[in-house]
Amino acid sequence: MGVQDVLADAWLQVALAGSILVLAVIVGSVMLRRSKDEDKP
Amino acid sequence: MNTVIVLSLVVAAFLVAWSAWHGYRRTRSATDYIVAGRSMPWWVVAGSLLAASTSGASFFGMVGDYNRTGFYTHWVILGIAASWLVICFMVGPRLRRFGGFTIPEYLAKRFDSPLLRPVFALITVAWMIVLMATVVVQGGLIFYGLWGWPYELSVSLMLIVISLYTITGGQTSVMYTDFVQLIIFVAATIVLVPITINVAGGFGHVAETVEVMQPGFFTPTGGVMTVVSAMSLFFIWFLGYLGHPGLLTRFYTVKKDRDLYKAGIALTLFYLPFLGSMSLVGASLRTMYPDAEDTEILWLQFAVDYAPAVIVGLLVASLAAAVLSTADTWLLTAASSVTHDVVRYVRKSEVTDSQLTRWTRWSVAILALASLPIALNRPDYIIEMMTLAYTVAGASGGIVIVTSLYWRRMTKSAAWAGLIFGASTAVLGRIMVAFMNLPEWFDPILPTLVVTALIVVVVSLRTHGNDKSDAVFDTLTRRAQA
Repeated sequence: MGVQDVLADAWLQVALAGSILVLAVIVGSVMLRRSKDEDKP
Repeated sequence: MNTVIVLSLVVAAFLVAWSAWHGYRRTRSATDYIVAGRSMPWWVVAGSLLAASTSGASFFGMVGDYNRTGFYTHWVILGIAASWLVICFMVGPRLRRFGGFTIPEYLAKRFDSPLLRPVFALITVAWMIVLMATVVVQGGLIFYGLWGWPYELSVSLMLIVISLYTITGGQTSVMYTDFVQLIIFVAATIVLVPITINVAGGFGHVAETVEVMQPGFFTPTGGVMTVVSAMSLFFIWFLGYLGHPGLLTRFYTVKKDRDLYKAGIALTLFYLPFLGSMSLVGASLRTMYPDAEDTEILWLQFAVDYAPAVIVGLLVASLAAAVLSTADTWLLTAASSVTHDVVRYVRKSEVTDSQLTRWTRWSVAILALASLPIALNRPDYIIEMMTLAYTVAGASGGIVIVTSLYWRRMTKSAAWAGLIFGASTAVLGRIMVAFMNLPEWFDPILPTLVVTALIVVVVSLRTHGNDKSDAVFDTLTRRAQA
């Protein structure tokens, strides 16, 4: 049983974990950019 | 072996003492003591949140859970990771703009209901004391298990260390020592995870062996649980963290919203791989100790059996660090609530800054003492009490706090109704699970969450708010203050 088999068994959790990580980066970056704009005079 | 372990603990103790001293030097007022002067850098906030949420229970207990229930345990860390997103990007910035000291204070002002403050504070104190006692038990077991010290002495020693540096430097000490403790247990994880997998025969061998021992080990139910219980686990931890005063108070320590966003990205990216790696450890240990009864100490057992002394020392120091970093957070949160919410409410008169700091220090000492009997008794039902606490927090505090931050229309009556119904139904649900023969597909926590949310919405729509309450909500949404 290899890594791919384990990932296939846990596909739902892998997909959820991946979504959380991607969301953290995208939402965080957007929030950071917006707050940077607000800091400008 | 013993010399190396002692040396590791001494180094860890030195680092903790240095952080406490650093915190003490920065503490001049109640704002410094309770919310670290509202000037904590983002990396300390992210590190301290991670350290506070990674107690001995999650560091070692989680390995034991993975060992028994396979990838089913992933639902705990997925629920917590999802809550980091909501906490850091949605809840944190608005709480920071409120700029108070405690969560009961926020709820009381948001709903213009002074009584909410001592009531929620007393619930917070009871919860934090139970959580702290649970964590300290694990700390006491380190010395008891390693050197056979009397358990009572080990627990007392742990509590004295935690109380000393929390009394000394308050929130600044707590957060900096959390950060240092995080570095210690991350180092232990990075070194020990590959060693454990290799000694067990490599990933392929481990995966094949555990799949034969427990078919479905790598599926979301771990081959032993139901889909409903998996969903419940996810929501208990997701909402439990959203209503957790110990963690939410951290957001008062941040200077800018930007720092919270940075902390949120770092925390989420780091948390999942870090805690997720425990699943590989749990699986590896399953192949090596198939008949183990006490799965929570398996990793320590493995280190003693197979790893060099220096690694065992690192692991013991990391376990102690995990215990300290969590217990100090619960202790300070409880002490702040006692003085800032309960004593102030009872006294009614004005309290000076130095009085508030002094009383909070005294509260730390008294509450540490209050948790000692629970820790010494080591009741069998303590894990059940922890689960109950998170369930109650999720069903009541989590839903009420998040809704109050984003829905202007939410009213005082809705807050009280949500807290009372959520908390009482969650307790009733756990009693039903413990004493009644419920069908496997039914877990009371899911309907409790849905009905609590509905009650909050319906009561808000049927009752009226007031101007004070709306004014507080408006301060939360002013991005110009970010």
